Amino acid sequence: MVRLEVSQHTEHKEVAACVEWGPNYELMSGSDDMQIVRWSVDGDMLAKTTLDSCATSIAWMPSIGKSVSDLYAVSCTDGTYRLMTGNGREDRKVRAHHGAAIRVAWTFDGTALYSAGEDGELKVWSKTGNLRSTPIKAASPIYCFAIGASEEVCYACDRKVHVSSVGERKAQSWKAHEGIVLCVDWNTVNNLIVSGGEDCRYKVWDALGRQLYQSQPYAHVITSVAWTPNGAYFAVGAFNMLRLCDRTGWSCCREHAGGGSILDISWTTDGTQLAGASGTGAIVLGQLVDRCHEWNYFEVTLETPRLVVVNDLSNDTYEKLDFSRDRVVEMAVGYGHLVVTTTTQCYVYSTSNWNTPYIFDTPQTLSLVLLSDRHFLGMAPSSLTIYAYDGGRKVSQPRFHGLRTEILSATSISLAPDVVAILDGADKKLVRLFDVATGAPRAGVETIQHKKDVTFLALNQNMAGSFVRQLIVIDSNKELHVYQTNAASHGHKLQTQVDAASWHDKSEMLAAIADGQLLVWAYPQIVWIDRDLLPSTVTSKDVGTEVGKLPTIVSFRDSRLVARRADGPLVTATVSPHPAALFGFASTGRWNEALRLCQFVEDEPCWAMMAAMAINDRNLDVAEISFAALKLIDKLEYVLYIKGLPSEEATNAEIALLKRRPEDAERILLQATPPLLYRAIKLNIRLFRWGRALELAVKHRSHVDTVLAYRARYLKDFKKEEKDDRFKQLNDSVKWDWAQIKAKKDLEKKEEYARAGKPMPEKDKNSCFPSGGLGEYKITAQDRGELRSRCSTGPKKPGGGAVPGWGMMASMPRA
Amino acid sequence: MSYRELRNFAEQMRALGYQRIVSVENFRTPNFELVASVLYWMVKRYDPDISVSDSIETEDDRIEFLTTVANAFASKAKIRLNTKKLYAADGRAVKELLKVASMLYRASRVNEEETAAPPEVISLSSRIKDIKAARTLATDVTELGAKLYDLLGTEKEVKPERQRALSFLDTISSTLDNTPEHRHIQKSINDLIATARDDAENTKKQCDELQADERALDAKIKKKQSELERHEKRLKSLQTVRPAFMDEYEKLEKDLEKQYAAYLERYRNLDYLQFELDTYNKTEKEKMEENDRSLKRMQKRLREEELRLLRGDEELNDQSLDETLAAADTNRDASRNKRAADDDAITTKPKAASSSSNAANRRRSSHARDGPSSRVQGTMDPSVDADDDESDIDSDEISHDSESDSVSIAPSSNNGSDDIDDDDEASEMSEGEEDESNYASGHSSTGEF
Repeated sequence: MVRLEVSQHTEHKEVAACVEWGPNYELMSGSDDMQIVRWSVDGDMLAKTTLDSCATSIAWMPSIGKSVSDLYAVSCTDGTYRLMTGNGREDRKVRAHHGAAIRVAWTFDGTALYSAGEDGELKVWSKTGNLRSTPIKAASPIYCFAIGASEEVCYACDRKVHVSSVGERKAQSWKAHEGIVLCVDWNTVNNLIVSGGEDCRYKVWDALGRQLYQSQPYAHVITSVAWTPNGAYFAVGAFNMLRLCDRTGWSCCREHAGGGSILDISWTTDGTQLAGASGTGAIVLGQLVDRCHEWNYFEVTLETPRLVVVNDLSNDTYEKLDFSRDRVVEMAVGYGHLVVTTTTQCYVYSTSNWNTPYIFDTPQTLSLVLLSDRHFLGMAPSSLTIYAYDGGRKVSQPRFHGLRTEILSATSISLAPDVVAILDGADKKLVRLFDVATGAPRAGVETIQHKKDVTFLALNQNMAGSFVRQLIVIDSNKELHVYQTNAASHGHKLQTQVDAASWHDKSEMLAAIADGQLLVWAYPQIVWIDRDLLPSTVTSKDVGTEVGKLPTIVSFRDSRLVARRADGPLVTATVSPHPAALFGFASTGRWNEALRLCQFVEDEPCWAMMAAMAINDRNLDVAEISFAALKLIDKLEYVLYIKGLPSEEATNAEIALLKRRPEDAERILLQATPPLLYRAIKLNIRLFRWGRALELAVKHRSHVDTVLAYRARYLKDFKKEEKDDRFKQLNDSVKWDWAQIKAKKDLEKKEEYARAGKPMPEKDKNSCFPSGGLGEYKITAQDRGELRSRCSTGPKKPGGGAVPGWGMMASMPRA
Repeated sequence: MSYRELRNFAEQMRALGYQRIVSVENFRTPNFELVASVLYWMVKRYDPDISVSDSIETEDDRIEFLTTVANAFASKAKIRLNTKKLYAADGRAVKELLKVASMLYRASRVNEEETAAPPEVISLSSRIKDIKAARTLATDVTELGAKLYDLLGTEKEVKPERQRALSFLDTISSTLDNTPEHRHIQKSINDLIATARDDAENTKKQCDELQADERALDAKIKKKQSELERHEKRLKSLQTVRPAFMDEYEKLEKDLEKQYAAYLERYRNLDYLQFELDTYNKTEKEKMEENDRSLKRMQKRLREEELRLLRGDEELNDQSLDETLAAADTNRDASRNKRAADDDAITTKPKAASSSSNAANRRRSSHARDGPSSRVQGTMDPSVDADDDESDIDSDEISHDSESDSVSIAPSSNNGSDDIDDDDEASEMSEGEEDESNYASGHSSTGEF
C-alpha cells in the first residue's frame, strides 16, 4: 500500500503560503515573512530572497527541450506579480490585480502566464509580462485555477467550478461544493479535476463536470489539492492533515503534517515527491514509499526512498537493493527484469541475479518505465527512449512533432517487442506507431486514426507464431476497438461501456470489464480471419457486484485477472486457462496437442479459436476438424474445397477469400507465376465484380468471352438488362459459346494440375470451380466420402456416441 | 479586506480551535454576530475571569459589548482595537480581530514549542508511574522527619560532648606549640597508622593465601578437566568398539529365536495331540462302559437262564440222579473191590481224607455260592464220597469257568480303557497269569501237602 514518508523543515517565521518545485529538484517556497527560500531536495536551505510583499504563489516557467528554464513568476498580496530569475533577481514587476494576486501559472509550453486575483479576474500575460487578454471576469475572487491539457482553464469561484476555454465563449460551470471552493487541480493525463472546499470535502470530477468521487466531510476546510503529474494520485491538504489519494478518490494514507493547514502542495515532475506549505511556516516534504510491484513470484517493494526490497516468494528470500546515491523514482518488474530509476541513473536487474545490475546514467530523470520482452521504454521530461535490457543499450528514441511527455502516461503509451504506440498529444484521436528497433514511424502503418478521443491504448505482447500486432483502444465513449498494426485496416468495435481492458501477458487473450461483465476474447485476431466466429470466442461472466463501478485492471496473467475497485480493494477473477494453453500449442505448431486439448475441453470458444488459428496458419486439416466440431457446415465444405485445389496460389487465394480479403486473393492469383488469370477473373465474377473481371480480361486479352457469358447468364437469371457500356460494346464485337468456354476452362485446369504435378481428378471435372457466387460450389464424390467418414469418425463426446449434428451432416441433401 | 488577512485569520482560528469553521467569505458582507462571537470567545480564551455580557441584540448592547471588550484587551493585553471598524464587521474588522488572534496564536505556538519536548501523548501508564514515585517520596519524607526528630531528642546528651570537642579543637588551633593536646593527637595518629599497617599486612597475607588457593584449585580443575576429557575419549572409543563376543551373541540370539519358534510349534502340536488323545480316551471309555454294561447284562441273562434251567429241570434231575446213582452203585462195588486190594496201603488214607476234606471245603464254598445246589448237595447222601467227588469236580469245573470269566473281566474293568491292544494283551496275559497262578496255587497246595 502506497504511503507518504513525511519530513518537516522550518525556515519561515510566518505562514508559508506557496511551494513550487523548480528544475533539478530544487524547491522554492514563499511565505508571509516576505521571503522566498530555495531548498534542496532533502530539505536543506540553499538561498533566501527577500521581497517587498508577501508571496501567494510561485510558478516556474517550464523547461522546453534541453534548455533548463531559469525564470519564475511570483504573485504577491499587493496585486502584483514579479518575474524572477533563478538566482533571486527581480526581472520585472507587473501590477496585475486589484487586491491580492492569488495565483499565477504558466502554460505547458511557457508561452503565456495566467494570473488570477482577488478582484475575480483571470488574465493572460505574455512571457515578458505584457497583458494579452482578460478572458474571465468573475464576481468573487478566484481562489484557484488550473490549466488543462488543451489550453482550457478550470477555476474555482465562490461555490462553483468553471471550465472555460480561453478565447472562446463557451464555458461550463457547476456547483461543486456546499462551501466556497478553495482549491482545484486539473490533471493533463487523465483529464480529471479534483476540488476541495470549505465544506471540508474533496471531490473528483471529469472534465465535463460529472462527479466521480466525493469524500466524507473532514474536520477542517480542505485548503489544497494537487495531482501527481502522471495522474495516478493526488494529494489533499487540510488543517493538520495531508492525504494521499488514488485517482479514483479513495484515500491511500493520511499523515499529520506539522499542525498547520497545508496551504499549497506541489509535486515533482516525476510524481514521487511532494512539498507542502504549512500554516505554521514549516515546509513538509513527502516521498511516496511502499510502492509495490508484483511479477511471477517476485514482489518488489520500495521500503524507503533509497531501499528496494525484493521478496522472492518461491523460496521466501529477501533481497535488499540499496540506492545510496539517489532516491528511487520509478521501478518496474516483468519479463525477467527489474528496472529501477533514480533521479540520475537507471539500474537494470535480472531476476536471476540481483547483485550485478547494469547501471547507466540518464541525462534526465526517467519518470515512467514500460517493459516488454527485450526492451524497456523510459520517459524523461523531454524524450522517450527505448533501451535494451542487456547493458542498458539505447536502442532508439521515437519522436514526432508535438510530443509532450507531460500528458503521456502508461495508459497512453504501449510498448510491444517490435512496436511502440504513442497517443498524439495534440490530437487525441491519433495513435502513432513507431518501430522499436529504429525509432522511426512504422513502415506501412504510421498512424491509426480513431474516431473519438482515445483514453486508453495497449498493444498485445506475444511474439509467438504468426502473430499480428494488435492495438486495443478505449475511447471517450467507452468503446473498445481493436486495430491491427501490420497492415492498414479499419478497426473493429468489440464492446461498448468498457471500463477497463487488458491483454493477457502470454497469449492473445483480451479481457475487458464492461458494464459489470467480465468479457474475455480468446483470440481477438479472429476479427480479421473470420469475424463470424468472434461472438463464439467471447466468454462473459457477471462480476458487477464484485468490481463495482469504474474498476481498473491491475494484471492479467495466467488464468488470473486482478482488478481494482473504484474504492480501492483488489478483486481477483479467474478466467479459463484453455485459450492460453491452446495458443501456446498452436503458436509453436503443436497442432495435435492443441486438438487433443480442444477435444478434451469440448468448448465452443476453444474450437472457434482453433479454427481461426488454423486458417491463419493455413493448416486446413485442423480447420476442417474445428469447423466440424463447431457444426459450421458451409465453412467446413469450403475448407474441403480449398483442400482439393491443385496449386498453392489458388489455395492461398481461397484462404484470403475466407478471410474476406478479395483484393488480397486477386493479388495472390495475379502474382503467381504464371498468373492464374482465369481464377482471378472467375473470382471477380463470383463476387459480382463484373467491371473488374472485364477489366482483367481485356487487359490480359483472354477470357473476355467467359466474362461476357457469365454476365449474360447473370442478367438472364436476374431478369435485368445490360446497362454497362463496355459490356454492350463487347457484346457486339465478341461472340461466345458455352462449349468453347468450357473447353478453355478445362485446358486451364489441366495446365494447372500439370504444373502442380498432380493428376487431374477424373470425375466431376467441371465442378472443381465454383459455378455460382461466393460460397456456392460443388464437392467431388471423393470429397463427400471423405467428409462422411470424417464426420462419422470425428471427435466424440466423452460419453461416447457421435454428436447429433454429424449424422445430419452426413445425410445432408446435395447442394 | 485582504485575501492574505482573511486567509491567515481563518488559519489562526483553526489552529486556536475555534468551534466554528471561519470561511474566507464570512466577512464579505457585514456579519456582526460572527465578530461578536469571535471577540467573546477570544476574551474568554485570553482571560476567563473577564466578565463580558454576551447580549448584542440592540445597538446599545453591541456598543457596550465592543467597548468592554476593547477596554479589556487594552488594559490586559495592551492591544488597541478600533471599535468602529469592529462595529462595521466587514473585512476591515478582520484586521482588528487578527491582532488578537495572532497574539493568541503566537502564545499557543510558544506553548506548543515548550510542550513539544515531552512526548505528545502522555499515556496513562506513565502517569501511574508518577503516582508511585510521589508515594515513595512521601513516605521518605515522613521517615526522614521521624529520624530527624529522634536525633534532635538526643541533642541534650550530645551537646556537652560536642562542646568539649569544639574546645579541644579551639585549643589546638589557638596554639601551635607542643601541647598535651598535640601529643595526644600525634599518639593517636601513630596508633592508627600502626593498626592500619597491620591491617594492610593481614589483608596482603590473606590475598597471598587466596592466590595460592586459587592456583591450587586451578591446577585441580585442570587435572579434573583433563581427566574428564580422557574419560570422555575413552567412553567414546568404548562406544565405538564392538565387543568380540557380539557376533557370537547375535548368532546365538538368532539361534535362540529359531529354537524358540520350533519349541513353540512343538508345544502347540503336543498340546493339540494331548487334546485329541483326551477326546479319544473319553470316547473309548464310554465305549468300554457300554461294553461292560452289555456284558453284565449278558451275564445276568445267562445266570438267570442257568437258574431257570436249574429250577425247571429239578424233576428231570432227580430222575437222572437216580439213574446215575444206580450206575454209581455198580461202580462202587468195583471200587470196593479195588479198595480192599489196596487196604494195606494205609498211608494213602490221609491223602484221601485230605482230598475229602478238600472236597468238603470246596463244597462249602460252592454251598456258600449257590444255595440251591448246596441244598441239592445237602440232600445228597454225604457218605457217598466218590460221587460227591465227581459232582464236585463237575461243579468245580463250572465254577472255575465262571471264575475265569470273572477274572478275565475284572482286570479290564480295573484298568479302564488305556489301550485296546494292550488291554487285550493284558487281559489275555492276566488270564494266563490267573491260569498259571491257579495252576501254581494248585501245585503249591499239592506241594504243601
